[in-house]
Amino acid sequence: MTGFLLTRSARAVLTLLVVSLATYAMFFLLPQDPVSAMCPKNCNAERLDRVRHDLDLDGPTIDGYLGYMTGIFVGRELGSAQGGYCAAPCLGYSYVNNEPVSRTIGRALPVTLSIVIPAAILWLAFGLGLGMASAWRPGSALDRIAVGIGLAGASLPLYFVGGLLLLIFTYRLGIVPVPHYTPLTQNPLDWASGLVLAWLALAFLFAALYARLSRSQMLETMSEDFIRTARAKGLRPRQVYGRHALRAAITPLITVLGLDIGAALGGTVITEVTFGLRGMGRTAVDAVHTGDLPTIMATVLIAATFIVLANVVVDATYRLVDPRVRRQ
Amino acid sequence: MTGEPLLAVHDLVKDYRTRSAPVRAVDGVSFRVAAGESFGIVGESGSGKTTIARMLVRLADPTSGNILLGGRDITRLRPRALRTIRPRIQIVFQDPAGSLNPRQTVAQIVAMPIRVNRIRPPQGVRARVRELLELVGLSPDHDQRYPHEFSGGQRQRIGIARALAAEPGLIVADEPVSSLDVSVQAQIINLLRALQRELAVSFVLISHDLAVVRTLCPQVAVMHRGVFVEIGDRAQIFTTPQHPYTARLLAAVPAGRKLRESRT
Amino acid sequence: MSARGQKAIRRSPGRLAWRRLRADRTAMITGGVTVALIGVALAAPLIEMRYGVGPSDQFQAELDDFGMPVGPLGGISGDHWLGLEPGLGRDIFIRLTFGLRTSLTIAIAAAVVTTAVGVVVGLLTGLLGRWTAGAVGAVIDFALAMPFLIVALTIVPTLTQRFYGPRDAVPPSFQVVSLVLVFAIFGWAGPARLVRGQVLSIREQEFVDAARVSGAGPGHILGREILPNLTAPILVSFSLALPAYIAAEAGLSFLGIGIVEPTPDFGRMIDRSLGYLQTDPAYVLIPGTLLFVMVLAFNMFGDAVRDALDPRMGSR
Repeated sequence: MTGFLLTRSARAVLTLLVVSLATYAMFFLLPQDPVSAMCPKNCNAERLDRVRHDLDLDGPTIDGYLGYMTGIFVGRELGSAQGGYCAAPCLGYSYVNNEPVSRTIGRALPVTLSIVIPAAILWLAFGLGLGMASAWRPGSALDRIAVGIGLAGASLPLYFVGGLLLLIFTYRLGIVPVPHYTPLTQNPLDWASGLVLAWLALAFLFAALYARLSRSQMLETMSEDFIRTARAKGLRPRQVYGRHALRAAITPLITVLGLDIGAALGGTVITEVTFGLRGMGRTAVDAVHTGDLPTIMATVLIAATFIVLANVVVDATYRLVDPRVRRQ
Repeated sequence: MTGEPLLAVHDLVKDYRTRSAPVRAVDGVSFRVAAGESFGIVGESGSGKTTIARMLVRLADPTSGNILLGGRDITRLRPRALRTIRPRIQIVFQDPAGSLNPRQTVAQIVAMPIRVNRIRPPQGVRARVRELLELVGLSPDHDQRYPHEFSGGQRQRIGIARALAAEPGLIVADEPVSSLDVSVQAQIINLLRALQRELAVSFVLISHDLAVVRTLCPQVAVMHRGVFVEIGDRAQIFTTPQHPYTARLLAAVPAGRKLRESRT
Repeated sequence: MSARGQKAIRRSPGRLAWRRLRADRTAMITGGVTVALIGVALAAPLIEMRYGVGPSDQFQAELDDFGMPVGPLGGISGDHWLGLEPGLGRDIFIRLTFGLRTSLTIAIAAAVVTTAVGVVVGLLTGLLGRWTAGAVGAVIDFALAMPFLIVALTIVPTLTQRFYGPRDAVPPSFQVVSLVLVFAIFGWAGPARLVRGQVLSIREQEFVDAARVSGAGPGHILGREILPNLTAPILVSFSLALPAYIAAEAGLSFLGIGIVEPTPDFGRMIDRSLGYLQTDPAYVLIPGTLLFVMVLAFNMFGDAVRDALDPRMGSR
């Protein structure tokens, strides 16, 4: 197991390095000078040169990249205009926002976490529950409804669902305030009411997918021989279904859940844009529109880290849980 | 029957690498098969008999030892040369379903060895295929059907027809009837016996079932944990087993008991 | 003794699957809808001729003083079957028709390219040695690790700026190609993994061994034994990809980097419409519902195709 973790982690690190290189390189494909793109407002030639020097961009591009990357691990010296020494993890300085990038991220990350984690709990519960209930009696009314919901969720765009939820609950009925972010520690009720529509929209879409997946998994498992054995042994059908079948069917779901959460943590871009919440995704979109290289680098790297991490965790869990994969 | 044996195997060894120590599936096996005769290998599952089968047709490479086909060493032939001698030794697999490509018609399946080896039968490929089907007891009019339309026994016949299509001198039959119903097993065994007689094809018949081997093979080897514990002609093995394992094997089988009872 | 007439019924696995599909009523309905949508997309210019209104035509005279369409449900009338856009007063029906054309072009192109590349890569890694598999596996890891939306957001404007200045009008063909390119860069990894898995499992099958023992060379094994058994997974992959790309393209346009003005597009229309959510909800609901119906039809038909290819009890 340790050997596996080591090789897997090495692969993960390698992937992340390539991602960082690719992102950095991509920015330099722009026809305009990235530095002037980063500093659009009150930037005269002298200031541009200083910025360029501070960001290690006056030499070869590779120095800029290496400077940025080492800064993440050990911190580095930025110019006095950016607050002097930038402690590790140093993600650079954003001239567009006029603050260190780590501060921007520090504000955006909790928002994304607050959106994704409760939504994930909701979608797992509902998706799994619905899928199991419908597979219990295939062809029943409940099953048809569940299949319908599954199809709807897989076919509706999130911004449309979001728009509808806003229209109904915020504008027409007025029960829910306009979506906004309040930190959980500050005011839990406000935190929840500001995010509830986002949770519902995101959870609906994912729950539908999970309902579809769990339904087909349960159906497949129920037709296997060991279920017949359990029934023949005289175990009560509900027990057989709830415990034995579920245990077998759940592995692919856990895999998908891990990967989905990993991807979502990188920034649920459409959700945040639809509901006007300034999470990682929204920050990334804004950074792209303003040409803010350090922030783009940071958001892409963090998103990729979540994805890669989720992959490693899922692979490791798979090896732990699935006896067939386990080696002696 | 003198001269070169059709098949001669010397000291065949097969090691498999695993996480821990390498596993020796076959540990120094030797035997000969004369032309027109059949040789049987009996053993439980895990004894290594399927590994021998795969090595004979070069689906697996021996770790050491020699396989001589008609006097020629085929153990380490390169793919190009191997392909020229391949038609001479063919195989029938245990699982009739998995060994037939579900997307090909029976005609395509049986014709494959003919086309691949560029054999040009005088009556044409299509007619030759129909001839082969008839030979194994299937209706030639079914040649455009697909494997899923046939029963297990019929599919096994298709596999045998395919093996015959290459016009081999030797066919390795790896558990040819184990997946079939008991009633069908007898039919297939009879088919093999008839083919042996009419076409002078030799078989290396591998099975855990003593009765099957006894019917077809004058020479028999008993295999246990990678080695032949006993080898000789069938009468001797079945009536006076020398090795305790053979005796146990015979005792476990109803037919074996009957054999001994008939003597006392 | 069998009747010669049996030959007329070919019971190949492909034929059987087709017959199962024909028998499934839902499949036929959604298949019909899919075909109809494709037909409309192809015939868009003809429809424009008959309808008499173009996608860029503005009818501001028919809007009220606030720039809102007059009439029920956003201005539905005999002349404007689905109403007018607030602000610019463009006809929604004809814009949706052309938007359909754009969406389907991009989605089909992206699905074809990604599936094709994925199949080739999957075959190569499935058949060749572990070294290639390792190298390609690393590339796949990389492709899957990049956060799609964010990177797409970066690539598309970069590409556009490379070839066109900030004031130039970007031709729709360029936009379409750059979007398909972005999808292709990320999208091949999924089908490649799928195909590789299939190839590995087909290789294990005994009929492949049988071909080898019969003396077949690698060419025959690839072309006659392996490929024909891949058609089902390839079709499944394609049928999953199409609705996904329709949705993805609309999503990118919603974020502002897909198809830009003045070319009509679903995602952009919905994005713009959200601003009128309270005042003209029909403007949100109409394109949204159409997009939903389109993706739903493709999804359901894809499900039906998958079921026909691999029937299992109860998983309808």
